[in-house]
Amino acid sequence: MNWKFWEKKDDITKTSGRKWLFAILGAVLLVAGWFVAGLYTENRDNLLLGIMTIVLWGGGIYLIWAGFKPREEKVRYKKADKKLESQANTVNICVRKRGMDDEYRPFKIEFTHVEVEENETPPGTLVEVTNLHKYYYFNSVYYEKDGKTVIKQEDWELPDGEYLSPRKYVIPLTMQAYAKYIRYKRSKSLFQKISAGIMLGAFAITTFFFWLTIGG
Amino acid sequence: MFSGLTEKLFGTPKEKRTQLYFRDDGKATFRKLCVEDASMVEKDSNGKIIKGWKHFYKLQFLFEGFKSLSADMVTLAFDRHYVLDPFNLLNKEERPAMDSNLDSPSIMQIAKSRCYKIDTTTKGGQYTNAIILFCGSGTIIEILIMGYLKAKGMA
Repeated sequence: MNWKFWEKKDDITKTSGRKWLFAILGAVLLVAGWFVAGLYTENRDNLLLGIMTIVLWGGGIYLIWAGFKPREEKVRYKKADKKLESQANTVNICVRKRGMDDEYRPFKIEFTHVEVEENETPPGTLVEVTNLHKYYYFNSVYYEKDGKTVIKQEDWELPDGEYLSPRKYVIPLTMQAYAKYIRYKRSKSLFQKISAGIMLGAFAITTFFFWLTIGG
Repeated sequence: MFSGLTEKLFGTPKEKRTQLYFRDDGKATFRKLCVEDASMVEKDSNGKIIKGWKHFYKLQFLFEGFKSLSADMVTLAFDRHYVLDPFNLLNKEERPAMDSNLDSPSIMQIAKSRCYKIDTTTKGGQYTNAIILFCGSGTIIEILIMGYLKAKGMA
C-alpha cells in the first residue's frame, strides 16, 4: 500500500514564458488594429474595417490581460513512471475486521482493499494476470481492526461448482424474448401506420373545399 | 470548459468500474467494464450484452493502482457465478443462491424491473391518435357546415 501511483508534478511553476507569449500576440493584434484603423479613417463608409478594428484591439487587450492575470494555484499530478521496475509478486485481497471507525467509512463495515506487494517466499495460489503478463501469488488476508495485524492468511480460492453463470445472467438482465414479444404485440398494420396521414390529407382537402364554399 | 460541451454533444460518459475477472482457465484480468442497471456488463463489438455481473457497492475493494492499472475500486468476479463474495460481505437477504436456477426472487426482481423498462421505452406514437381525432372530427364538422350552407342556398 506504500507504492505511490500518483506523484506531484514538479514543473508546475514553469509557466512564466506563457505570459510573454500572450503579451507578444496581443501586441501584434493591437498593431494590426492600428493599421486597419488607419484604413478606416481614409474610408469611413466601409463599416467592416471599423468592426475589424474593434475586434483586433479587443482581442489584443484580452490576450495581454489573459497573460498577466493572476493565475490560480492548481495542484497537478502526473502519472508515475510506468517503466518503474517492481519486484512485486503477490496480490493480497484483504478484508478488515468489523468495528473500525475511520474517516472514509463512518459505518461499521469491513474495509476491503487489494494490494500488490513483494514477498520473498510468497504463499498463495499462482494466477497469471494477463494485463501485467506475469504470474502472481493470490492470497486472501484477514486483518485485525487496526488494519495492520494479520489474523490469518489463506490461499486464494474460488468456489468450485456450476452456478448461475454471467452468460445466463444476461437472460433476466436483458429480457430479449420479452422485448421481442412486446415489439410484436405493438406492431401496427399498414393501414394503422398510414391512417394519420390519410386523415390529415382528408382534412386538408375538405378545408380547401370549405374555403371555396364560404367564398374564399 | 469543453467537458460540458462534449457531454452535450456526445452524451454523458458511461459509468465504468474496474473488475478483477478470474477466468475459467485460471488466469485473471484487470479490466474496465460499464455499469448498467446495477450490473457490470461485458458487451461485444455490436454493443450486445454477452455477460453480466450483479454490482454491489459492498463488494468493491480499494485498489491504489499498480503499473499500468489505474487506481479504482475493484470488484471481484469470476466466470461461473454472477456474484463473487468470498468474504461473505453481503447480508443474508442479498446473498444469491449458489445454484443455476433463474427463478430465485432476486433474479425475478431484476427481470421484472427490466420488463417495466422495456414497457416504457418501447411505447410510441402518442401523437398519432391525437392527429386522427383532430383531423377526423374537423373533416366531419366542415362537411356538415358545407351541407348546411348548400341547403340554405348560402353557398
